Amino acid sequence: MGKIGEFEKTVVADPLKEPLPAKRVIPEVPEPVKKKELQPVEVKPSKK
Amino acid sequence: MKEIKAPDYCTTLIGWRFWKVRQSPQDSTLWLRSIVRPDLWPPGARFEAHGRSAPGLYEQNIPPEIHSQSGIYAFKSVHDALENLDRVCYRGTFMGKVNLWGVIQRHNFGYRAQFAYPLALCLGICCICKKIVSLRTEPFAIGWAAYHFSDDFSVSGFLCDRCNEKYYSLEAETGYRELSELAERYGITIE
Repeated sequence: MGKIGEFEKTVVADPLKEPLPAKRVIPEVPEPVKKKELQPVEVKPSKK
Repeated sequence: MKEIKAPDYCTTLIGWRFWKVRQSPQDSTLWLRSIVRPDLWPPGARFEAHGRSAPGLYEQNIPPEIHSQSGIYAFKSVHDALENLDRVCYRGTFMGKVNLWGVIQRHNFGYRAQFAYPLALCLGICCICKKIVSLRTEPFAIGWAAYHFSDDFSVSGFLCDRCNEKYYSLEAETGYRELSELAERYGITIE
């Protein structure tokens, strides 16, 4: 990948922790709350 | 008695390199791909240097040797990386920072490392005019070619605002979203 020039030195880099992203925990999708089904109600005309 | 060699650094070294972006035709996930070799960088796992011991055969996790061309390449600085823009075809690619560790062969302008993981994406190189675009502050677009003779994946083309307006008129929003998804998948930042 391109020119990186003349060799200088061999080095060893040993990080205490590898720089990898922490594994993400995908939260479980909760079940949708079941809505109580509404019953049809008979509407009576109001008495005047 | 076994020789114990103390490491020179207890941290990673940070280099600069170019990547291509590829899209899987199966599930549309985006992948970082090396420029020279057709290697995809795994999200969440270190990328390891390959040593070619025989034609067509890869051996994993071989430290780069002094007098070889092996290792994961990165430049020492943005300046060193951009100096190489005209040497190799980096059109349409992304440039960013990379963490390097393990055995590292240090050269004048760059490194050859044993292990690497991307750290950030910073610049895009327009595939038409080679303008260097800041991914953080300048407008851009990403185009996709579904089929390519050299890849099983869909191939990205990075466009500066001017070339996009002139030749393609792609939606910039889609490019930003795709790049954000890629960054999130790899756990890296856009700087």
